[in-house]
Amino acid sequence: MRIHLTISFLVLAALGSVLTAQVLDSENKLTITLKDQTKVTLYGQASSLSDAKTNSYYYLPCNLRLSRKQDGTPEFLFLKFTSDERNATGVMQGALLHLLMEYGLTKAQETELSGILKSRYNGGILKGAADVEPDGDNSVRVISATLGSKDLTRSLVFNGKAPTLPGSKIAVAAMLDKQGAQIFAATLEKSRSIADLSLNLSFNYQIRVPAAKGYIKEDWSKIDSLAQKDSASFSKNTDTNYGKKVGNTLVGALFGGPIGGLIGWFGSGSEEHYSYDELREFYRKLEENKVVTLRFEENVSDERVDKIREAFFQHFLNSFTEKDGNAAREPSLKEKEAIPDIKQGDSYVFKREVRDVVKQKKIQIFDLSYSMAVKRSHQLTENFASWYDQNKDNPKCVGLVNIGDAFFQYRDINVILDIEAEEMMGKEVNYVTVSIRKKRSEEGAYDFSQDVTFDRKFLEKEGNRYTVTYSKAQDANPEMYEYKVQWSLRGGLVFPPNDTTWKKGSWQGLSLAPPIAPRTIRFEADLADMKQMGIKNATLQLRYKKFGKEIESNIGINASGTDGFAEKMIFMDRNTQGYAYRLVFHDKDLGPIATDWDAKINTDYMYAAIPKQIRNKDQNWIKLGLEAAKVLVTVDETGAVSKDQQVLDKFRKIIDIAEKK
Amino acid sequence: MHSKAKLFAIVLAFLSGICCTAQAIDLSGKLTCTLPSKVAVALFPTSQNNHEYYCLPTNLRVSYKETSTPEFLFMAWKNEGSTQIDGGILHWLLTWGLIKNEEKFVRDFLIAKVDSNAVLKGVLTFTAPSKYQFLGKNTELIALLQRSLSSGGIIPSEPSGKSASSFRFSAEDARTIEKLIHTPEKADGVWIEMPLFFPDGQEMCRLRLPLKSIFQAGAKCPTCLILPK
Repeated sequence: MRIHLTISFLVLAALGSVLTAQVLDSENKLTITLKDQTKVTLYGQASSLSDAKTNSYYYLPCNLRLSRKQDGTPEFLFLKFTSDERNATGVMQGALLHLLMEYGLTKAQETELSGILKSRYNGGILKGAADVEPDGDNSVRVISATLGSKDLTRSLVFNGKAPTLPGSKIAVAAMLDKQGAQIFAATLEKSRSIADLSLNLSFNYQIRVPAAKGYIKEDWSKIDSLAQKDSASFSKNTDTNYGKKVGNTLVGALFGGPIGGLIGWFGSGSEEHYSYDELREFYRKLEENKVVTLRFEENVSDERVDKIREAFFQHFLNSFTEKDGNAAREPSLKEKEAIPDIKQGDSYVFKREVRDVVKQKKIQIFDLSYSMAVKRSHQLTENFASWYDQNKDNPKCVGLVNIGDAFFQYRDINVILDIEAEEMMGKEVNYVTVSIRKKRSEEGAYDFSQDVTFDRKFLEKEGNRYTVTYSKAQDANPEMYEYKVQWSLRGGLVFPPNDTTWKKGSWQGLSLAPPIAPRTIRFEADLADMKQMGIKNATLQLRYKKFGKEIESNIGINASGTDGFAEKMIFMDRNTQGYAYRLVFHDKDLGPIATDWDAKINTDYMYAAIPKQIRNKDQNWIKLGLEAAKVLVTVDETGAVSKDQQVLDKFRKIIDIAEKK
Repeated sequence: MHSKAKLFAIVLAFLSGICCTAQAIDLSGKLTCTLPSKVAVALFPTSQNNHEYYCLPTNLRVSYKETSTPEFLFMAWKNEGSTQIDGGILHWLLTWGLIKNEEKFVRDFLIAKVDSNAVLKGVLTFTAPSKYQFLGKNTELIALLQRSLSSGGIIPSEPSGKSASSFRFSAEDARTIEKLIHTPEKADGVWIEMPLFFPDGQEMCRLRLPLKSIFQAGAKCPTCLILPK
């Protein structure tokens, strides 16, 4: 009676416990093209105990596409950006690409595919996606000359491993620099073919393939002939060192004694204990003497035969022996090699039913036509252009932005000290302080404030320019700022003295001009004419406004001198355009004769023209002039002319400049 | 039982690394179907069922979009003030296998040649090197392509799978490629080759595509070329 055992059953049992539950049959492969030209490769589920083909199919990864949000928006962004700011590193120009992909059939495609399987392939059933694993750590590949170039793309990041489940997302993100963005965008926008970006996913999947057709035969009838043939030589055999017990029983039965000895041993009922190594040696002898035969119908490597032999020995062990847990011991080296996680060496006894097998000289054939699981690779590749083309008009996906977010911008205020003030520094001006503040409109935002003081030392070190910078963030009107200026002047004056009014700043910057302007007044006289007319001195009296007060300054020329020219710098309020003046001629006999006060828009030049009334000796006019000259000017502690002697009010229209509001 | 399962798992793990036959086919039952495009398709019945046929991989070609545009892009550029091309990129997608109409043609062929139960089950499973090769006599052009290949060149494992390749060219190389695209016959003698093997290591077939035909496809497609004025 022949007993057929199928090792494939055992293999599949192991497969089920160690590997994966889904087993694909390489002999049952389909390739189906869907209406939208998506090509789907499917494998049938392997039958667990036979080579029969099932009609249950699993599909390999396909249909790589952009993933979509729940509202249908593609999860894709291509954003070109630029800026009004120049930046040496080019950070402010470039493009950002970010996309999420997934693969797998859509519901509609699954329905279509199920229908095709059912109608065209004998009621085939679509069971779902095949189990796959990423083909290594770099199973997602970005194929692009632009994105792959470090001098065109600042950074490129993406999932290294392809996801194993359909619908799982794969992210790719790149920041392109200025040139890279232009090249990549050109391939998207100008070409109607493909873009310089393809994406590739690589997977491995396992399929069962038939192989190693062959068998293992146990022929216990050979024991008889062996016993007869070798009985004479047994006594010379010294190969008995593999175990006293085996030597006394099994080997004796096999090689030394008649078959009855073996049967007697098997039937003796004695429970002899054998180690793992002893049984291995026994099995080797069985093979050596053709009691156990391995045969393959094809050429198979020795190493592979060894593995199969090893597997079958294990099967022999389990079929013919039982473990005796009471005799635990240290495992042997061979035992450890075969069973790496073994903790204790086993002790074995032969099963009692084995004697029946031997007594009946049974022949057992073990079919080795088992299937093996092998790995196969599978790739998915798509170009980005089709995804882009579908979404190029979707503002949620494709955009252009000029980076001008005030939040990230700064406002620079250039504070420049006027050239006149620079000249006056250390003369009329001790220092000037400008206070700048920026009140921010957003609730909870801090206000900005900074004071800058220009004095002679600051001028020498920093020059006449200083930049005050504040952030434009958290304010509705980031350009607007306020300021106030205070001047410290010679003599301890402060102008304005107690002014706390904040003024709105100009967008151009802030020019610090002093409230007073220097003017050099040149005064000239004809010395010979003065001498001829008996005038010893001519004086120019000027009245002008300084810090809003009326000030008098005099410039004199003496006829006895050699120079008929004199000049003097005066400091007038910047908001005036002229001054009042009179001439005082000192007659050698009559004394000082003063002309009437008159006003003049700034020419900065006066000539001491001797009035015709003096030349004509007009006594009435001279009398009035003598009276006018007698008035002594009184000033207060600031140098201001006393109110009853002030004259500028009469010339306000000429002198004052309408103040800008 | 534990040790038994363990040992068989070891055997299994060992065996899974060995090449072995995939679909068992009957080589003597070979049929050849010539498509209207003159491409010959070799068909083999399975050894178990002579109504089930697998075909050899065939028809390596430039991939085309649904709009009949070849998936080919060559872009060259000039720097500001430059009078000639200063650089370029090239990107193409290749594919192989039968298109849907051709599949139907083959199915009809089988029904006519065998009987109404004959079925085309797909393409024979193969193993292949990870990347295709440039072969031919023009070693200079091959060297140019090899040094410029930025990424890609993978051999697709299934029909209609795509093989993407992206190149970046120096100024001189870009000028050479630009000329070749406009005179593709000068690229004659260089081809792309994808050697395919049965899982047991025996050669199955070699898919070949002349470089000339790739450039011809690009040259006929104005929207595939972005060239500086």
